[in-house]
Amino acid sequence: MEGENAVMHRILGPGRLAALALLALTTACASPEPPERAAFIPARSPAPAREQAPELASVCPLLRDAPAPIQADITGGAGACPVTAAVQTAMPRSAAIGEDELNTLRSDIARAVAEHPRECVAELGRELVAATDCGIVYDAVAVRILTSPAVDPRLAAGELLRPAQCQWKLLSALRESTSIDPTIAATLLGLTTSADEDVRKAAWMTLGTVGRLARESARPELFACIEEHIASELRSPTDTLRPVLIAAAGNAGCERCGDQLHALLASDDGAQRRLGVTALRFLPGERDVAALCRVLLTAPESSLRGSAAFALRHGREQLERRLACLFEAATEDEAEFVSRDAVTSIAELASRSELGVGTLVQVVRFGAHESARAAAASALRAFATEEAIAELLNAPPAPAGGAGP
Amino acid sequence: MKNVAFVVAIGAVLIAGTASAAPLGVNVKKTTVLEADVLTPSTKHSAASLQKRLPSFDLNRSYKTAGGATITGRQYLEVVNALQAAADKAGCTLGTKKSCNFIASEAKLSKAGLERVANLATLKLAIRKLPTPVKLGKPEKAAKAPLGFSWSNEWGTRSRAAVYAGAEFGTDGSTSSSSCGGAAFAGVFVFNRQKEVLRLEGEARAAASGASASVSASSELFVLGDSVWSKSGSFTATPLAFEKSFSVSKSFTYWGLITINLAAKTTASAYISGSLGGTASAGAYSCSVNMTPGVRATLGGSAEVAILGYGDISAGAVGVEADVTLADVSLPIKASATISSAGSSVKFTETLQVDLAMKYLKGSLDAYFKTVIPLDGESILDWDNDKFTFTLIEFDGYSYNHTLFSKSAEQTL
Repeated sequence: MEGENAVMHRILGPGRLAALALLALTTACASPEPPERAAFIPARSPAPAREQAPELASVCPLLRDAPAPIQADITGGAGACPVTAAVQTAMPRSAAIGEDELNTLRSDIARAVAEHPRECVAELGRELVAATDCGIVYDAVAVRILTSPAVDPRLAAGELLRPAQCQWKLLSALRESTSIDPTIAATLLGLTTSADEDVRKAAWMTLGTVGRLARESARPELFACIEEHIASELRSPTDTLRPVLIAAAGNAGCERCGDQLHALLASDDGAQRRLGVTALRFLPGERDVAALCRVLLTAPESSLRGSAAFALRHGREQLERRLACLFEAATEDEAEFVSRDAVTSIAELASRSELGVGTLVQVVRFGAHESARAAAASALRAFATEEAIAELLNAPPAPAGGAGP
Repeated sequence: MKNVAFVVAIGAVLIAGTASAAPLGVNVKKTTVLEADVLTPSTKHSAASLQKRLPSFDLNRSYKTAGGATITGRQYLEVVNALQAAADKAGCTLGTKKSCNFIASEAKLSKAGLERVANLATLKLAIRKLPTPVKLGKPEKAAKAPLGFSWSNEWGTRSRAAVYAGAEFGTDGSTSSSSCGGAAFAGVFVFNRQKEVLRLEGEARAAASGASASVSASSELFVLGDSVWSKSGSFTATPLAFEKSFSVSKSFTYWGLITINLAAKTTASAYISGSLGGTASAGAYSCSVNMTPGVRATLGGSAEVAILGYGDISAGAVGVEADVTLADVSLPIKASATISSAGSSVKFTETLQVDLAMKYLKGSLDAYFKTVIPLDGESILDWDNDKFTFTLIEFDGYSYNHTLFSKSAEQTL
């Protein structure tokens, strides 16, 4: 317990920790539930798993001084939130629920949470704690509680702290957030030291996603905090966490992790090389895109080249360089599926740029395999008339030159 | 039950909510409308004809619309004639409180446009010829032509809505190792924007490692580019689902008059279950994959509709009716590879099976506005509740269940 308190002190600060403890105690004392139910009350917080827990002193002020999470009283009765009964019925039937029912449930939950945020967080939060099926319905509820604009981020952060079988899944629902709050980020950071390995892993991976979302939503200072933390952990990771930290760095587009990620590409272990390739997908630098291109065009393993083609479709920077090497793969790779993966990535980039559309035209003319040429022609139908494509297909190919098409 | 978005607020062009409505029905006439279409009304309203309905009507007078904007009588007359022409084209009569339905078609690049972007690519992409991939030497004796499977397919129309799925899996073996692995993926296109909802990458390898034997395995699940689940070592995954939404904005302009700004929202759940692992002992190494990745995706949306020159048609109801199942697709994948000592030689056995089960592309997405456009407080034409509908996406619904690949093989190394 001493360790737990120490971690919570570091995460929340002594004042907020006391408030949280008081909240938990009050909640527990007020509980009319039998002991089994009371066990769900978050009387404890995540325990530290190891010595390298994030030191508060090294956490930037934005996270260190973030407002403390608050927790809804989940011990009350049901009825104030209009969808509780429907969720109770649907939750155990995740695998069998129909699309219409699921869509209606999603809409109903979203409306209920918007209209009764505190009541629904309390009642649905209790269902999430009790859930043993972390399936499609659990996710539908989790996403709407955690990402509704009507829910106070401190209240959402409080839900993240409740120990439960699907707690790790709850954390991962934050990927749907459109705006990132420092309290949420600080809570995730605290959960990276949870005693539950699945929670720890989900916290890191989600923290990476949250970091990228912060950058995309013009919160560079928050992104920098998170990026530095992931980079710091990645410098001396435990064996268990290493792949997860790499995935977190990949989700974040962690530029400060670049050296560690690039080093993976030279590993003897194919799985490590693959992790490194996919983790570079959001990195914007010239050397990052160049490294992915090198793998795409020279890796002996076709599956690794396929991963590189997949990775290259994600970033928004270095578009010309990305298209150039994807074109090379689409027109040169001996493995048919790599060639097609490259076409898929070019098509993705074509939806953002005319240059991509032009590259598709050139793949139609010079694709390495018939299926790659057909895939490019199919992709072109999104941008050009059938007549134009037919004429293109019937036209004699232009002479291939040293500089490409 | 059809999920429907409808207008819930007055004072804005559109706010989408959720309610129920009947589908258009098979007997409702629909007319294709291209963005480049020009309207030619068969019956033309004039200032004089409008003055018969509202004696104070004047082309030069400014009127206040219900939304607070101002519009001249001349602008109003232009809108009236354009909508009358649109109704003519659809074969419907305004004032009957019925729908005019249009299947929307959009502009695309012509051959000249295509050549222009192709030349742009030639000029801009300084394509370097990089070294040909180097083949790693294999010191031990490797399996000949191990099983491999690569497949992908696509359904629908990318410029509206389409779904795709694919897999690349294979087995391999040598005298000292066996491996199984690859990738599976599924995604959607909505108005040309590609979103790979799911990509599962996984591999397992059992091998001699010096004097001992080892099993290594890793798997990673990406949902719309985010890594949401990662495992190292052998594992069994109970059914998991990861929901993710994304919106695609798209504008459609018809007759130079009506602009529909659509925000199409796709809600997708990527799901996964199964196991991946292997066993290794002296003289026997095996790996196995038994994974089922899948995607369920639906489409909804909201819209804004503007009529040129008329400002906000805030008194008009504008919205989206959407009930589109893009896909419910799963790709059960089973692969195994085993090497075992067989006397003085080594036997390599492998199996690979990939199935596809899917229901896809069912329903429609319509944007509409109601012609409640008389000037504020002045009913000139009795068009209340006549409705212009633009069908942007429409599918009948399909299902497909098929074994994509199934093969077993055995060889002596």
